[in-house]
Amino acid sequence: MKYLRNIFDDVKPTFSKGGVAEKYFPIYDIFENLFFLSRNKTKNPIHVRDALDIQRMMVIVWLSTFPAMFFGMYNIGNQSLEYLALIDTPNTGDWHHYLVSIFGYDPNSFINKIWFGAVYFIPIYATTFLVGISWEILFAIIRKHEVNEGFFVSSVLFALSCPPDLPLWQAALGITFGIVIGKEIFGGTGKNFLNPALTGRAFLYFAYPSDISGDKVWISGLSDQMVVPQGYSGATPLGIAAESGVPGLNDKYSWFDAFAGNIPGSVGETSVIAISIAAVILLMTRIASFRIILGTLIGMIVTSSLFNIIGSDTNPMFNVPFYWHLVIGSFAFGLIFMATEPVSGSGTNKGRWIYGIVIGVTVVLIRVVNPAFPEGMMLAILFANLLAPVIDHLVVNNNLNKKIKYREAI
Amino acid sequence: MYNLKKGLDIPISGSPDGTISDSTKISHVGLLGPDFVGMKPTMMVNEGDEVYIGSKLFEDKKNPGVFFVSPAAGIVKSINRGEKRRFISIEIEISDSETQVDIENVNTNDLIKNLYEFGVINYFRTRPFNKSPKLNDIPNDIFINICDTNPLSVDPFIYISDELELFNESLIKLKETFDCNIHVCYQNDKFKNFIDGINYHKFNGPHPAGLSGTHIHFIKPVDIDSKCWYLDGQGLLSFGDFAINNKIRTSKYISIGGPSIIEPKVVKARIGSDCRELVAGNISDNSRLISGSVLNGYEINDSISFLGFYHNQVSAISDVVPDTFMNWLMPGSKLHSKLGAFVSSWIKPDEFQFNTALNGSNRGIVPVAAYEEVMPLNIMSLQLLKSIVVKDIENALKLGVLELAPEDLSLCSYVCPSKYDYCSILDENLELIYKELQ
Repeated sequence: MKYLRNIFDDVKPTFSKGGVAEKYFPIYDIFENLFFLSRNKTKNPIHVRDALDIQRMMVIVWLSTFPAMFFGMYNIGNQSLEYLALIDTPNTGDWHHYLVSIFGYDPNSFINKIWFGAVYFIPIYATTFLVGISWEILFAIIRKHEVNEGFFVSSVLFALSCPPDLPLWQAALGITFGIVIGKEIFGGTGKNFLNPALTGRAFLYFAYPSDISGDKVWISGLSDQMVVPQGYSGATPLGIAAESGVPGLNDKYSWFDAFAGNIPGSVGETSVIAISIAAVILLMTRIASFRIILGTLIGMIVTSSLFNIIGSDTNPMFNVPFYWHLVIGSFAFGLIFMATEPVSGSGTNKGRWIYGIVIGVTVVLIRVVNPAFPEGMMLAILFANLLAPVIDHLVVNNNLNKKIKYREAI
Repeated sequence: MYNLKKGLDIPISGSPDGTISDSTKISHVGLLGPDFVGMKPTMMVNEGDEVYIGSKLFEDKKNPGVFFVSPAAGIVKSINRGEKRRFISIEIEISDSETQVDIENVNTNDLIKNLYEFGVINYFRTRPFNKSPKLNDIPNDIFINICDTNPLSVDPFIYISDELELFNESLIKLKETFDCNIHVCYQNDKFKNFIDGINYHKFNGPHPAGLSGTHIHFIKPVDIDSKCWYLDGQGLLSFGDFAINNKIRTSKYISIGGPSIIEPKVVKARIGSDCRELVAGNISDNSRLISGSVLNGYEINDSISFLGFYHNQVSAISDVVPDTFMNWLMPGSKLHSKLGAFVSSWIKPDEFQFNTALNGSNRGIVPVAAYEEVMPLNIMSLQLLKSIVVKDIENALKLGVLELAPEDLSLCSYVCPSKYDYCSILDENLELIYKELQ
């Protein structure tokens, strides 16, 4: 540790004011911060400080995605190897094949499954990370501030919300849009009004719908092989529910399959169990707001139950009960990781309840009565992001009016 | 009775117990410029002049008629100025035998005039703006604070009870002098000496339940036209001594504590004591000595070395910031944090060894729950913090910025993961608002 510290101390003058590489201080700063807490000291008038900083906060969120990430990788392998075994083709049909074949295509081997998933997911994540951090550093250098660790979270969430077959150039384009338009042009982390990861994801969704929606993209290899055996479908449970409702779902998957994550979908979204681990971490550390989480759940349960009561003969989604809504699509993923993003969400405690309820209601509305998009979570959260300032404005005004009354009463 | 739930008592080690001991001998005292918000002095003495207790040292150029007097008799040793000749401090070397200037308070009018002449008015501060009252100002409410919830402070009741008679006489005199509502805010259950015509309010709860800003907010929130003054219990004793006994008080009770203080204690020491003399031999090496609390104080250095006029404590913490390897990954059982991101939040040690580490570096505001959890006032904390950071004073006024003094935001700064200093920012905003109103 001492050795490492000495290296940093030796290099620091080069990057500090007056040094040759003064401009590139943010790059040095990333590495120094990675290993050592900054040596900054407190100044008048506050001489002691809470130990929590943005770096630790963001890293906790980042680490909390790991269960979902590893399960996601396993699940990619699980789904795809089964499919490939079914069509009896041990070849994904593209460059991934060279890497996958190192361990093989055995659909019963845990190692093969996880390796298969890693071969698909890690390039997406690596691309996202490298492209994203390049933008971050560029903006940090131009704006002369330090790189904000919020990027760690945005990049992993973006990668986890993508389908496993996503072309890498799209990943690069998506995260670019998310970071630059969703965050940096407004001044960086803390000043963005949209969730950067979701902004990037939404950009891809509307720019390249064929690569990011439909039935073919959720099973790696399916879109390349284009062989669909009798009775097989790569559709996500959400797609099935939109087609044929609960009976269709029960035909194909049990509720527990969907809860555990044994279903096709975006990399990180499938396992509600893995996401629950993250929920526990984020709630215990109190980084995520329990108000937003409960509000969203309430909104979703009430609205979906309302649709259950109304019922419909033509739209099978009306009859999907709330416990299915919870486990299909990206509801749980969006709820725990995206909706709770504090910057783009509501900034008042009452507002957080309302913000959550808006998400819960909107997601069911989009899923059930909107014919164009089967998945509503992404759009519901972005919509609520836009609404958050209005919610806060109303809450603040309400508070101010109450205060005026209190004053008059005195 | 006001029971506050939100807030935070910082579990810092080195609190003194309640026994009062003798102070070490002090040879220098001083007055600090930064204590008095917006004050610009017109000097009335030069270095080398001889002064008595109560001799005028300077007058506030911005608030004419308000004088500042010497808390000791002796020689003016130095007048320190900083950048742009900004006044920092005036130092007086105490002589062996001290005399006080003559004071005679014959009637109420005399007394009010003399309060300004002999600087006693400076114990009172106005809310909004936290400045000394102006000449001829008459308050509607005066808040007397005999709570102290600052970290490492002691309950003022222990020394009030020593001088209870003077305390009560002072209250009566204050009522008589200004003929306004007097509110006494206390925290100790043993405080039972209630006088007719004075309003008593009990405040329970963690810091900031003991700050005047909190009391005023709940009892009678101020706005721009409010004529509200506040002072602490020791200020009242000084007022009482002056009004009743024609005496300028030269000492006050101070708690000395913190992880770097070898023997924490409460002492009766000179007003404006040289802090280094006060803790001589009682402090570990490589420590930062602070006049005031760790949440609201001055670092003692060569230019600022005296006890602040409004400070009732001296704190010391370690100034050595050890290299923390991969702070983002470590369990952190010895680091204090309001939220639950460190193991310490779960094993809950009683006390922590705080040091002067900022524990991070400056970032954009990320609205975590902590701000609301340490703000018991009915104020939209996050919105207010954001508006003062961007100096949107119009919005800040709407949100109630005038109710605050910098110390009221010190916990928000403490918990801020982006490491903002909202206290200094609030100061700038209040100054800006004050100027706009002139």
